[in-house]
Amino acid sequence: MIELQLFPALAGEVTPIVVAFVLGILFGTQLQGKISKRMIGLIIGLSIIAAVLFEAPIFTWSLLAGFISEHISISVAFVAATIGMFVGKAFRGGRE
Amino acid sequence: MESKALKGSRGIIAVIALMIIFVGVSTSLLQLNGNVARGISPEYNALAPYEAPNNLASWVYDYRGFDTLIETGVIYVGALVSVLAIGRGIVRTKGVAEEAPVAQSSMDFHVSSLNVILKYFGIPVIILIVAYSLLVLTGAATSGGGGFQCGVIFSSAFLLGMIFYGKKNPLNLSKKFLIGIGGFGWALYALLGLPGYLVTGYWQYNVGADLWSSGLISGVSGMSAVVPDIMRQIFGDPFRILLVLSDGTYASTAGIVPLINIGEAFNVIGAIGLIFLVFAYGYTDEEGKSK
Amino acid sequence: MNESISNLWSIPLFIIIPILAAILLNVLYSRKRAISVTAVVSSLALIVVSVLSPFGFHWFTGQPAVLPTGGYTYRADLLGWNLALEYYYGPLQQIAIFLASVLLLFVVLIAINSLKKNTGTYISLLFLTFMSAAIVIMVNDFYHLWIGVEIGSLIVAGVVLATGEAVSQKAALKYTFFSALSGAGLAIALALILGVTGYANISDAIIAMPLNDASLASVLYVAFGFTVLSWIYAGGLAPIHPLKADVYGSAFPHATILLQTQSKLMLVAIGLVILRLFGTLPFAKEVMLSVSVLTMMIGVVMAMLQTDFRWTLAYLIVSHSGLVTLGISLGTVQGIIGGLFQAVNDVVYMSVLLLACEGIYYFGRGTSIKTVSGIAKRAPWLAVAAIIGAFAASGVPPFNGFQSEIILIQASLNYGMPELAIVVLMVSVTTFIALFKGIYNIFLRPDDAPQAGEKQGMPVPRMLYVCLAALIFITILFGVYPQLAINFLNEAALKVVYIPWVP
Repeated sequence: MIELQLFPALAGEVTPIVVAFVLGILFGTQLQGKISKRMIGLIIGLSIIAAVLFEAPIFTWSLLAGFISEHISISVAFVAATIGMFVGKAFRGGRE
Repeated sequence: MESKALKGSRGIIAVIALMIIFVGVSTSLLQLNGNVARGISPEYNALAPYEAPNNLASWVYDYRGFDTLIETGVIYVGALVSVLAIGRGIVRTKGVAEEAPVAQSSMDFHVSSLNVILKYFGIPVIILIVAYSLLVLTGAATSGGGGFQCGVIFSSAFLLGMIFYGKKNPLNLSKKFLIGIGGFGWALYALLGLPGYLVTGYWQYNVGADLWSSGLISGVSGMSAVVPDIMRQIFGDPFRILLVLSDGTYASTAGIVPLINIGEAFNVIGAIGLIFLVFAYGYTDEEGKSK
Repeated sequence: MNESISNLWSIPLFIIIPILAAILLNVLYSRKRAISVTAVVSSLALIVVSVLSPFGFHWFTGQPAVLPTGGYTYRADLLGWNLALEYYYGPLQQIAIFLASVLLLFVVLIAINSLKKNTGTYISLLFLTFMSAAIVIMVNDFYHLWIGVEIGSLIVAGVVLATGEAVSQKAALKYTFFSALSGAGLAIALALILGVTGYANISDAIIAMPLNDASLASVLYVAFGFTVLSWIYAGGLAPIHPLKADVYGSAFPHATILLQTQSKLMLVAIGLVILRLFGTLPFAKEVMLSVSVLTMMIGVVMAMLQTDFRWTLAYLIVSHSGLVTLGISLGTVQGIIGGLFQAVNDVVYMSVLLLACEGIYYFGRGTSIKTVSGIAKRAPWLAVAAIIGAFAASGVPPFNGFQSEIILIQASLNYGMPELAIVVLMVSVTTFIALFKGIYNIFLRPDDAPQAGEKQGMPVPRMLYVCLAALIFITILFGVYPQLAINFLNEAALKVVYIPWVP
């Protein structure tokens, strides 16, 4: 069986994070209006808290994908999506 | 339906019909209680560990993936028809005098009356809801979630923005964007069947998970074509995870299921977003007028 | 003949080509040239595929069938439980889809030529109408049948709404409201059948059907009731005929061609499913027969009462649906052949009449027999077409309606119910009267209206005449050589009656 092993994670644990980030960028480009730096900090902080609550998906075994121990894990995809949206908004630049 | 139509004899007939239906359905459900035939489902369950950890995902998007394609179409067509009722795409006969199409005027929003706290609360909530919808989307194959849910959650963020900020919605999706993304989503879902069709002749054959030609399961006869390794890697490997179950460890991949879910999500976002947008603000043909 | 191919190449194309075309057309929206090219090319492609394709099955997503002895197989002719969704393309499907795609091409050509403004969405809905018809006629799966009916009724509402008139909005709203019931009924029937048998695949469900288990008989009857209910709603049969007639009457006449094709195919498909699943239940055929007879009688009577040619046609279409279902409900080989052939013929001659009606539309004064008159002088060929259509519809030789109605009459006589044969005869005679009332007033009655209104009209598009000629050719062809179609339908009928587990 062919296995694309991105050490230490299996690809299937990383791909969702990338997908969430890319789609975050896509929908981030549709954001309009001004968002201050403090607001961005606040939102990312909130998203990290939320990510701890959501936990990593089942059958995730690597730190990269947010698995820390059996009871503590982080949903990296959620944080990636949030950051992706800000990146997308930055891409759009002056077009508002 | 007006309540007037249900008064008098028609109403009585309707009530009697509903009662007959209710009695019929409930007695037959009672009779089925404990007698339900298992039929084909044990077969699906036996194959489950080789595919997505979320058994439901492999049912909905793999075994019955084509059903879901048409179901997705129901949402797309629903949006198309709802928006048609408001005015997008009404056609006229050349040179024949007809009555003017029924028009819908825009709904009135009084944004200024909204609480300041709500306004500040809006942007972070919208962004977090969108991020949550993307999380649900990425969990399509591993946990309860998927394209439908992602789309619905996303459009709730869009609706929230519309209610809080009116036309200054921070999530500013235009009609063109929504129509485009909806169509793109359904087309993506439809075209994801193509690789399997070209390689094995079966539409939407899951070239990534590839249960049947890879030798994972023995006792299969008559599979004419074998999926090339390169195809299996492109669609399968990015989604391969290690399933540790009580009866063993399986390296399983959902194959094209996560990709299908992205198409599904786009379609639902486009469809439901368009319905919200057009029902709130009405439809005007900018494209038509510019020509 | 048992086809063993389980990955027939053509079947997905019948669904995917219309879907992609519809998406593209909807996005193109108002770009005329691109819309024409896309629409014409896709509908031509559908015709070509339907002609070239061999017969066989398609198991979507490529999951095999489970053999009763264990192990899996990809051969469709072996007995096995399907893991995948199954479509079947056989002789009946070939002739139905070929006709539907030809009609789609005609309708698209007329729509491109005669409509202005933003035709993209409308034409994309026409493609989806074809798609839903193709789904229902090919599918061998109860769950998917439900989805086909569901999406089909939604699309019908869209096609009707596209005219933008208040009357069509009302018709569409009513129709969607009630067809939601049809979908729900089919879903409940599906749930019960799944509960009783455990299979959504119709052929598998038939084998697993516990016909001898008396305790489950009532469940089967409830499932049968709901399936018949959805049959009635999908095809616009007797108690709800006004809804469907409203839909036919308020859509553009050329769109009605596709709408009636879709609904005839749904009638055929669901009717055959009922016959295969429940045909052995006592009283099943009797219920179906009485629905058919009611539909025919009420339909023609209502048609006679109408004063607008569009609505006359609308009620006649409903009434002739009863002829189709009559044949299927008889459940004999001859009856099913008659029903299927009637469906094919019906679609063709009603299209001739509807196109003639569309032609009248262009003279600018609507289609009411009170306001329009003397068209024959200005458009003699249109009058000829309408009269040929009327002859075919009322079963006058040498046109196609005669051939199928004679089979239906013979089938009713052989079944031992001469009264049905009388009803069929009555329907053809009344159809003749209803149609000629309209045709006389519109075409032949001297023009008493002042000439002022004449300027409103526009010349009838030449494309309409071309399509009319092609359809009349088919009408006469099937009238003179009925074997052309019957050879296709014969096998389908035999399979339904003698080996019910094969679609």
